[in-house]
Amino acid sequence: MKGEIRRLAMVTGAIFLALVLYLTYIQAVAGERLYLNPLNPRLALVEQQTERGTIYDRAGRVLARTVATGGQFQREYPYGGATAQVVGYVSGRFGSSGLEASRDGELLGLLGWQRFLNEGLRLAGRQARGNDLTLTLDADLQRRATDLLAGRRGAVVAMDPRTGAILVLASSPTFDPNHLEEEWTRINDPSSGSPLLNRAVQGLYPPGSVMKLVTATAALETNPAVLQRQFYCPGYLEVRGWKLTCPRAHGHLDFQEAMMYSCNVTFATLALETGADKFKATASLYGFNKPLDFDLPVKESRVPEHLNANALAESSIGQGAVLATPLQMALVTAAVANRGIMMQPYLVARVTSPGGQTLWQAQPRALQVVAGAGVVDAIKDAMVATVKGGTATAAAIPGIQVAAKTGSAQNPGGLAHAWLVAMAPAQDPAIVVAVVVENAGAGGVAAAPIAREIMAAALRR
Amino acid sequence: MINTGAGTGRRRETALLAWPSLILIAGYGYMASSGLHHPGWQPAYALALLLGGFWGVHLILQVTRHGGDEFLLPLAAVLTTLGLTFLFRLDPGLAYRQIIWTILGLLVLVVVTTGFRDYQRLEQYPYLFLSLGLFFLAFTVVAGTRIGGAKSWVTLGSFQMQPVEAVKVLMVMYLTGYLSDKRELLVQGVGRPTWGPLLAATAMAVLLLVIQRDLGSALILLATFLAMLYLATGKRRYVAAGGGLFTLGAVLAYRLFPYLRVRIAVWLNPWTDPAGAGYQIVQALIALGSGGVFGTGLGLGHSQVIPAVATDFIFVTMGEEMGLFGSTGVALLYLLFALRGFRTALDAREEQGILLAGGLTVLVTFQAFIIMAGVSKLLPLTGVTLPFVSYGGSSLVISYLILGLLLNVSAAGRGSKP
Ligand SMILES: [Zn+2]
Repeated sequence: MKGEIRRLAMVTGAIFLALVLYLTYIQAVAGERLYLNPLNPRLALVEQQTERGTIYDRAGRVLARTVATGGQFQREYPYGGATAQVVGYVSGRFGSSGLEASRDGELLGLLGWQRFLNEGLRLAGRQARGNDLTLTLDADLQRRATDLLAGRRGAVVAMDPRTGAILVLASSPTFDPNHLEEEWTRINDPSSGSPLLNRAVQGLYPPGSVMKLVTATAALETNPAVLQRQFYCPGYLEVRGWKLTCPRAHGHLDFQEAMMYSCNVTFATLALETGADKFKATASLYGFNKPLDFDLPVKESRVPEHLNANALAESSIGQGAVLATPLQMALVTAAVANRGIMMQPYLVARVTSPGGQTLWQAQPRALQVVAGAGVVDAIKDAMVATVKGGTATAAAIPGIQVAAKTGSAQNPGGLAHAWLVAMAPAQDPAIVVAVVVENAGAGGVAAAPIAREIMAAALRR
Repeated sequence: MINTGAGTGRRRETALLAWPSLILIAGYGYMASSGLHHPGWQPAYALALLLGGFWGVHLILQVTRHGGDEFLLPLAAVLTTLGLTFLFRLDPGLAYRQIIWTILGLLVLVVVTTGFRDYQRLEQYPYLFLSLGLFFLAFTVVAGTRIGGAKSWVTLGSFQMQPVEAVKVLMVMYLTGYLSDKRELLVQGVGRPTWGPLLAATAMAVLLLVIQRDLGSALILLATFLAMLYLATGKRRYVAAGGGLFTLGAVLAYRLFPYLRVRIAVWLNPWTDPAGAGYQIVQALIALGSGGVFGTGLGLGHSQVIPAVATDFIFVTMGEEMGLFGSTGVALLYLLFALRGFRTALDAREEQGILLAGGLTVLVTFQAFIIMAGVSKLLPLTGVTLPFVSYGGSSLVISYLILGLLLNVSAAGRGSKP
């Protein structure tokens, strides 16, 4: 019986070891994540006793600040609706959103050693202050983009393709975070167009012809001789008894002309030649079907897993089951602009302690090498031609060479979604813009002027 | 092993009791400075009563030359005094009532260690214990009150108790008597009539517990039964067969009882319904995580948002306010208790002592394990108390009764050594 007792003791030791290891995981490894969970009622108490940090744009303009009125903290958003979805809001009644939610830990000073320091301050009856955030966002451009959307449903993303810094992340319609209480019923009304939704990162749209940038990459990577080929467009393409059409018969045309006039027949032909595997692989290099690590939650853009000939032809022109966020299409364009190297997008440039000390700083880094420089430069040249004499002439800026691609994405909701992605100056792009306006028709008409204004404003300074 | 206990002045126990005394003094400091008060009570009285209680028991053991293990009482005292401190922080009213239960528990301990030292005499009536145990259970099923999911309470006037705590001890005493008596026959194989009463009794008790929805106690009883069967027969395949039967029963119960399905679903993913069924576990995890490695400090956590925090979930409060150091510390205290309990079984000279000490040790330790693992989502949550710590008179008094029995087995084992 003695041996049995020893074995029983060993089993007891083993299960307690498992418990201790598990507790170590819960409290030491996952502890901070659990603490920062929005379901944690402790955060509401901390909120009342802590001065939330200020959020600045890239030039130091205040996007969100805390003012104390009558012993109570109040949050102010000087740019109101223009930055409402990005910066978000924080409210005892309605919870929090945007960066106010995703950067709670920093804004309230709850991470690492700071948490102990601030808890000590609170215990001593003194007010703790959180950290400040400096964003890559350009508040002027952001406001301009919101104005240009003019209440229509849509989004504008602008970024620096060389670094991945996000300059504009606008979504419309919007709401005033300064008057949440008064606006709450209106913004939750189905007819208001979901202003709480950040369409730039959470809106999934069929990308339409903008997807041809991905199709072109796959085709050129497989066979660079495509550039010298002549194509013929009779106005339709029959794929297994199903007809894919162009708005008109484009006749004889080369690769660049196919891009200029956005010929569906040519790109579907190229996709069918290249094959579904290469198309999917290229889309995945550009970031489709992959979660994106970003400062805000991003919906995953997707290309269908199984592509038969019909689905491949549809997907190659951005229809069918292909869905993308405006941020995703901005990233595709940025990779083309940056010689095939896609940079990790980021929104928070710096975290600064209340004492002004830099606690963290974003470092631009490459996220993915998508394609060779030769391939993307050929695509860029075709996009330049598209602005000069193709579908995107409305994106042209006098004195600056612009490269762009339009899209008009068919959808069940009515008129096509108007898309435009653009970069400027084309020789060495410093800004990339992606614009989508829901149910606004042709991209070259509805979306191009918005992109033009943003690029012009950004480059003329 | 050096035999330091028997007949000596229990010097080691004297030294070790300094720890619970320090906890009490710290707790008194917290009581006096926190401003939390309960009408009719003075922190100083509470301190004096408890210090007097624990040291009094120590003195009585010394004077009566009790030769039992010197680590067990200090371990229990550390757990109880920690529990009292956290109870006071959660609800001073409960803490004062728990002080009375503690004193009552210590009285039971004194009675057992002075009046019933010859535990072997107790083992002459296994069927008496069994009948008493099953009667308590059946009575609870018929006349019980449902509190917090399990129908395991019996209300007598303004007085509530959980007979199941006593039932578990009675079952261990029955099993000790029966197994030590029929051991030879059981070793020879399954299918003999000897197995009949054993399996029928255990199955009956477990079934009655499942009907009351007291799954935690059912699980503890089963584990204790299997452990004791293993101790008595040394046959692992019996345990394996028991485990197989248990799995079968669990699957059957899963299909039969919707509340069990809900509980398993909550265990697998409490985050799908964080405001409803998953609330307790989600908030417990958040509390443990918020405590981190070092804890928030006594009284600075917010675990009071969790329902049943003073009883089943008190471990979460300790984990939040004492951090990982505190939670693993408490877990290690139970492990130490288990090791001393198994040492007692190892030192026992005859089968009854081994089975009684082994069974009671498994009973206490396994109960502590499943509630600590349950509130932290390592296992599905089954509402049982944390022995020596949780608020609850029945649980605390029975815990001290178990401690008394263990001390007696230990004294007999050591005393009989040359
Ligand atoms: Zn065509």
